Order: sequence, then C-alpha cells, then structure tokens
Amino acid sequence: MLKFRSNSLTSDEIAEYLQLEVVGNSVIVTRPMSLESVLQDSLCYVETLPELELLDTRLSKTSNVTAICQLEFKNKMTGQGTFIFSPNPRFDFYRVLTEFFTEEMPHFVSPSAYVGPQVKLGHNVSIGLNSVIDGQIHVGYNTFIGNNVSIKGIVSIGSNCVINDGAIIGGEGFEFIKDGSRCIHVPKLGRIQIGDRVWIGNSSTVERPTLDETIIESDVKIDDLVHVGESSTIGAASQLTAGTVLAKAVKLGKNCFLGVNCSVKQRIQIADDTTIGMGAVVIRDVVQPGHTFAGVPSRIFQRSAEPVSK
Amino acid sequence: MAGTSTGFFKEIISPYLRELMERTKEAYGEGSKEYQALYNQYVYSPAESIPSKESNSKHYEAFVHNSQEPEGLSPAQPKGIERLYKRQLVVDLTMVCAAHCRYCLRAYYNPGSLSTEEMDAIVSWVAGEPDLRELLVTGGDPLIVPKLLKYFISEIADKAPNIKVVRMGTRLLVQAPEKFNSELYSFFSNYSKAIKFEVGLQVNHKVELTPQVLEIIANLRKSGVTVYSQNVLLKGVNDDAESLLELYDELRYIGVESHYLFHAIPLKGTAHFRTDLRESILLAQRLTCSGQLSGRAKPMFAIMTDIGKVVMYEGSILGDKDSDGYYEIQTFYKLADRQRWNPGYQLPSTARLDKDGNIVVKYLDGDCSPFEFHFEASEAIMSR
Repeated sequence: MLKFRSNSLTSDEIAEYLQLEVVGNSVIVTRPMSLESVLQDSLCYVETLPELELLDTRLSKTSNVTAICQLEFKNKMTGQGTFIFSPNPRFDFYRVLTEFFTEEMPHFVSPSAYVGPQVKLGHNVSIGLNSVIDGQIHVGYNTFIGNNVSIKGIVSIGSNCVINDGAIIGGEGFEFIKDGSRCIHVPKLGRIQIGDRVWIGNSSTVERPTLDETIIESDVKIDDLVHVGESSTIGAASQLTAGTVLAKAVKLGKNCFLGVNCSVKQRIQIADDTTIGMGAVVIRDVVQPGHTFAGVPSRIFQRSAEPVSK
Repeated sequence: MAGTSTGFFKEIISPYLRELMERTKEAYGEGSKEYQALYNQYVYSPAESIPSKESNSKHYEAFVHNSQEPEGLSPAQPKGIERLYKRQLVVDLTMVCAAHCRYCLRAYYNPGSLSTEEMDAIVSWVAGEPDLRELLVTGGDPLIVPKLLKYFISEIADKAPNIKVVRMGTRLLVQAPEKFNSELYSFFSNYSKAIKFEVGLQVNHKVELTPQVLEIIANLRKSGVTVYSQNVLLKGVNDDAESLLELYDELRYIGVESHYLFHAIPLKGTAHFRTDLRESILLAQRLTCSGQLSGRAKPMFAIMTDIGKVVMYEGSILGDKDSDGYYEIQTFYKLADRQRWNPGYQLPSTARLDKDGNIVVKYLDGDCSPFEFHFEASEAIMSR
C-alpha cells in the first residue's frame, strides 16, 4: 500500500527519468496535480485538445508548471511552461507519481495474523491484522495481503499480488445435492491458482472447487465485492469491476472488461477482449472476441471497430 | 554518476547541498577547508574547460556485447550492463542523480533509466551466467528510483539465485537525504535472507556527514545493510592527511567501512582535481602507516585505469613517468579471462601484455601544482 511522500525534483530530472524530450526552463516540481487544480511547481498531464485549452488557461495564471503533453501537441504549445512530450502522457505521469511521490508501507506479517504450518511465504510478503492463512498455501514474493483476509485450502498465489481487506480465497464452493428433503454439501477439495500481479479487491471471494481448479491468470484485476465461483478461469489481464458475479465454471478470456454488477451464468465461455456493460446478465457464450455486450439478458451492443448494432 | 546527452556536464546542486554550503560558510568561513570541500565538488569551475591531457570521457569501456559472434547472429545483449570481472557485473539502473559531482566518472554516459523489459532482459542474462555472484547497481543513483530498484532486486532474488550480493553505489544520502525513500528499509530487511545488501557511499569530507545522513546510515545498518564508503582523493577537497584522518575516524564511529581511496581518474574536465600519483601514495602511506588511524578504518589506495581498478602496492608502478606524463602500471589481470567473461572485450590502446600474459596499462599522472580556487560569490550559486 502506498502513501504520499513529499519530494522535490526538477523538470529535467523527470524528463531524464522518462527518457523524453523537454522544452522550456528547468523548473522545480514538488507535487503532481490534476490539470483542474494545477498550482505553481506542479506536474500535470495533457492528453486531449480540451485539456490543452485548459492548460493554456492555467498557464496564463500560474508559473513554473511542468506538463507531460501528448507528443502530437508539440507544435501547439503556446503558454509559458515546461513541456515534456510523451506518446502516453497519463502513463508517464503515473510512473513519475509512483516512483518519486509515493512511499510503500513496510511489509511485515502482523502478530495477530495466523499463518499455518504448511504455508510457504516468499520474500517480503505482508500479512495484515487478523488474517488467517491456513492450508497448503504458497504466496509469492512481494505479495501484499491486507487485514481480515482468509485464505484456506490448496492455494497458490503469485508474486507482487495485492489481496485487499476482507477478501476470502478458498471458501468452499456453493453446491448441494438433494437427498430427499435434505441438501448434502459436495466436498470441495480442489485448488486455486492465482498468477502474478493479481489484484483482489476488498471483500471479494474466490471459491474452492470440488476436484479441479479455479484459475486467475496473471495481471487480472478484481474490484471490491466480486464473486468468482468455483472452477472458473479468468484470463490474463482481465478486469472485473465491483459487484461482478461469475456463477461457477465460467471461462473468461484474456483482456476482458466486466462492468459493475454484471452477472455471468454458470459454464459460460467468454472470448478474449470482450467488454460486458454494467448490470448485464450473460446467459449465452460469447464466441467472437473483441465485442461489447450489454443488457438483460445481454446482447451485442457494439462490434469491434464497428458502429452500434441495432 | 550521471549521464548527459548534450556534451556539457550540467551543474546540478541540490537544494539540500545549497543550504549545507550556506550553513558551512556561516560556521567555518568562505576560505575554510570545509566550505571548499563542498564548493569544489559541486560548483562548475572554468578550469574544467581548459584543455588538458585528461581527455577520456569514460573511465573504461566494458559494456557487454558479443562481438565474437558473426554480425546478425549474436543474441541480443541486454542494455545497461558492464563487466570487467569474473564474479561482478555493473548494472546502470538510471542515470539520474540528485546533484552532479564535477569529477563524475560517468558524466558522459547516455542518459535515461532502464525499462521493465530491459531489467527483465538483464535478469535472465544474469541467471544464465553462473560465474556471476555479485551485482553493483549504479548509474546514476539507484536509490533515487526506489521502485525500479525494488523491482530489479525482487526479480534477481527470484530468478537468479547465483547472485549472493547486491551492492548499490549511491551519493543520494550526502546529496539529498530527504529524497531517500524509507520504504527501502523494510525491503532490504525482508530480502536479507536471499541477498546480502551493501550500500557503497562516497563521502569525501567529514562536513558531508550531517545528522540527516547519519540517521539514514543507522537505519540502513539496522535493516541489515552493510554500509561502506569509497572516496576520491581530490585536490581542493580532501588532499591533506588531516582532512582524511578526520573523515576515516568519523566513518569508523558511525559504522561505515572504509573501502577504497581512489586517485582521481584522468577524465575530461577533471585535471584540476588530480594529484601527483607518487605524492598521493605517500599521503596514503602517512595515513595508514603512522599509527594514527585504526586498522579497521584504513582504506586501500587504488587507481582506476583504462582496464579497471588497481590497488597500489610496492612494484605497482613500473619505472619512471614517460615524457607524456604516463606511468606504466603492473596488473595481474589477464586478457583471456576478460574475454571469457565478456567476449567482446578488447584491450585498450593504452594497455599491453607482459611476458606472462598479465595486462600492463598506461596511467596518466596528475599534477603536483596546488589547487586553484576559482571563486564565485555564493549568492550567485544560490540563485541558480
């Protein structure tokens, strides 16, 4: 977890760090700021023409501003400022913010956490207050586990992951067999595999399957209050926003984006690069990659690189 | 330790150093050794622009490339690594520094920082070189970019278990201690079972050891990091036994190991800093063989030649200086070893092999004339 730290750099140092061209005087940068609230000695970024107009207005009132600007605006800069030209200003702005203006909280295993005897922790793993890590569990290096997290069963978590407060990984899957009037719970003995650099939000749950695996591939980002049902697979670099529910055995492709509160029926397969709109209910497979789906039940909303479908 | 793309090594003095210079001037006076020690290290001197025999822009050439492979067939070599020795590899993480030392040995390296992909390429290359045991992460100043540093070290610890020691060459502590990110303490501590960490400082005068610097050194040591200092003998900064005795005593008291005392390297724009080599050896002898300094605080006197570092012992200098001002220095480095560790390595024109195959290298002597103090009003420096 990061906190803000004060620092003072010059625009030249920032340009050198980013290996980008800088135009204008070398000025001090003491704070990264949004364009709307930019002040003296600050750093901001500009990606669009309206933002460029706003920057010009700001520069007429404020001195010593450094702006990371879209490369194609190179000949349009008129105001008195210091400009660093970048093909990806937002990305470079956040690189500078993270490198120079944040401090990571120390990683340590809290005395109130319980770490079972079969747990193997990599270097620099952090485990917060009252968390319980118990089972055949491996946690990769630099992974941060917040407060009140529960991880149980057979679980492998990669390196540089963030498991936020209250997340539960390895809770038994919800599956019962009718025995007359009674419901008998199906034993959940399977594994959970989580890749590297995965983010799991506050109070999200990842279920333990019966015999096979629940898989979350590397670079997947899961927001707060998301439910990943047992035996599901989430493809690399997909993002699941708050309230998403994958019922069970869902196969989500790589690089998908699921809007808030969408639900996906059990055993559905969704192709790579799919976007699902907020509140959508997906009850049919998505076979073609790259399209946007929305609605209840969901249907195609926008084809890849095509106008809105009617 | 910084890069430049313009050919002119820009003057950069951090706000911390400006304030320290101002405080030192008030406390000791403008003509004091203390003030001059800071001033001469960081303030541009017109003497830098006077042509001299010191014309090299690099102290050695050891970037790793595989020139023995036919053109086009050579596997891509990672950017940002240098190798002279069997066990060690130099990694240039970033060229950014908080201030520019006027005698910088890396002033004319290409600027920039390594990307994640470039660091990944170095990690996999290092993992495939089982002879390597130790990395010297430098630049630039690796502590100024803690996130890059942490990423690189984490990946090394995970994927290159042959690496047992990571050294970091830094002057951030003495140039801008407020920029030191304290997140590194717990990081070093948490990785100390996998890697031994050493922070190599360069403290040239006692005046640089302020309370802020001491606090960081103490915290680094608490985190399990070995802190050592290798410094440079610089005319107008510390070229007298008294200044050096005070410095090494103080370093001993705060638990910083003394490593090398370097003769100033013959580089473009640094002639005015360079002392006479034989006189420097005598100074080092007076320092270390007079019973005044604890044996645990004694540095090794060394020179940085075109083929790398040479610690000076009896017989290191072969004969007299030639008419161009060069000594011949006996080393026991062998060309074949170098080329085994770094296939593209070529012997520089200043070096030859002796009858046993050891490298003998020419080394330009410094000047025995006193330092000329090019003085500039401190107000002018402060306003820059």
